[in-house]
Amino acid sequence: MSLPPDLLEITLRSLWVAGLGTLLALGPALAFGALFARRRFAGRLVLRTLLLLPMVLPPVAVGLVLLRASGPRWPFGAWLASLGFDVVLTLRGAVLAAAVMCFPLVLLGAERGFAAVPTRLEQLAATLGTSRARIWLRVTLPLALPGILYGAVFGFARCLGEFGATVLVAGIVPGRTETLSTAVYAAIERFDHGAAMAYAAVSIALAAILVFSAERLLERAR
Amino acid sequence: MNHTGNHFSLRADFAGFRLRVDAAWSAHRAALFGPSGSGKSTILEALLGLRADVDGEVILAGRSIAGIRPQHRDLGWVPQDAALFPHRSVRENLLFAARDGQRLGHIAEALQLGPLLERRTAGLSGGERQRVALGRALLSGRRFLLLDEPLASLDRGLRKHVAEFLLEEARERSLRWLLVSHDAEEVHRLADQTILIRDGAIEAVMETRLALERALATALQPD
Repeated sequence: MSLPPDLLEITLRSLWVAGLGTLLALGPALAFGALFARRRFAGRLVLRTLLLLPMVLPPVAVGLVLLRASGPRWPFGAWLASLGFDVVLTLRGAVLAAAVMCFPLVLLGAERGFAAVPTRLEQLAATLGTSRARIWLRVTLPLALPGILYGAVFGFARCLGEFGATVLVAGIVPGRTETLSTAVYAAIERFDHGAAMAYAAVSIALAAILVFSAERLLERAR
Repeated sequence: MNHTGNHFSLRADFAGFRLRVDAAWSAHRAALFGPSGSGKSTILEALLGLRADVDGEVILAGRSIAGIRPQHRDLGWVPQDAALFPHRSVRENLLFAARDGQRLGHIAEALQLGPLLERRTAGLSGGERQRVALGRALLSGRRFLLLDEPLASLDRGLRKHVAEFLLEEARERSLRWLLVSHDAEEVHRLADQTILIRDGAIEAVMETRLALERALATALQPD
C-alpha cells in the first residue's frame, strides 16, 4: 500500500489550522476562564451555557450557524467583510470553525487553571506592593499555566479532529482547505480506502500523542 | 492620637461571629494575644485591606490607611501558613519584592536559609517555610510588619535565635510590628505592649508582662 502523495501537505495544513484555531480561542478563553473562576455575577450560568454549547451541539449545526453568521447581512459577516476576511470555502473558514469548536475545551482548562490559584498568594503579592498587572503575570498566570496548557492541548486535539463545522464553512477544496478529517471523508467518497486509512492513521497517532502529552502535563503539575 | 500612634476600630458580622474591636497602642512592637478563634487573624487581614467584609478605621504609625489598596498600605505580612510562591525557588521568593537585594546574603545567613536558596519551596519543612516568609517580608523594605504566629513552626533553639534577629532588625531599621499569637512565649519575646482579645472583642491594652499575667489569671479562674 502506498501512502497518498498529499499526506504530508494535508497533515501540515491540519496542524496549521489547529494551531491557529487554538490560538484564536486562547485569548477569550483566558478572559472568560478567569472571570468564571473568580466571579459570581448575574447571568453567569446563562453565559457559561452559551459558551460551552459548541462542545455538545452537532458540529454541523455549529457550522450552519457560522455559515449564516458569516453572510454579509449579519453583523459578524459584515465585520469580517470590512476586514477583507472571506471565510466561506477558505482556510480562514477552517480556522474559524476550529476555534469555535475547540473553545469550550480551552475555556474549561483555563477556568480549572485559574480556580487552582490560591487567592492568598495574590493577596500576599499585593501586600508586597506588587501591582495588579504584575501579580497577574508573576503569580496568577504561572500558577494557572498547567490548567491552561491542558485545555489548550485538548483544544488543539479537538481542532485536529474537527469535521462537521469545517466541512460546512470551509468545504473540502483539494490543495486549499482539505484537512486530515475532511480528507478521510473525501477519500471514502471516491472509494480510496487505502488513502482514507492513511489519513485516519495519522489523525489517530496525533490525537494519541496529544492526549498523552496533556495527561503527562497534568500528572507532572500535581 | 499622636503622630506615631496606632489605632484600629473594626466592625464585621460573619455567620456565627461578630467582630467589634477598638484598640489604641503606642509601642513599636505590639501583640494581639488571645485564644484560637478569637478573631486575631481576621483583624490582621482587615488591617492589610484583604477583607471586604470588615470595615472601620485603621491608623498605623500615625497614618490613616482604611480605604487604601493593600499595595499602598506599606504593611508587610507574614501569614501563619507562610504563603510561599510554589513556582519559585527560595531565592526568588526572598527577592520577589525586595527593595534592597544586596541584603539577601545577610538575611539568608541570619535566618539560616543559605543552603536552601536554590531549592523549590515544595519540599521545605514548616520552620523553613516560615523563615523564608520572614526573610521575604524583611527584604521587602516594609517598615510596619504584621506577623501571624511568626515563630510557631520553629524548633526551640531556632525560635530564640530568630526572635533575637528580628529584634536586632527592628532596632537597626526602625521596624515596627503587630504580632498575632496565642503563644505567651512568642508574645513575651517579641512585644512590648499587648492587646488582649477574646471572642472578637478587646479586653485590654497593656504592657506585655502585665497582659500575660492577666491572661494567665483569667485562664486559671474557675468557670
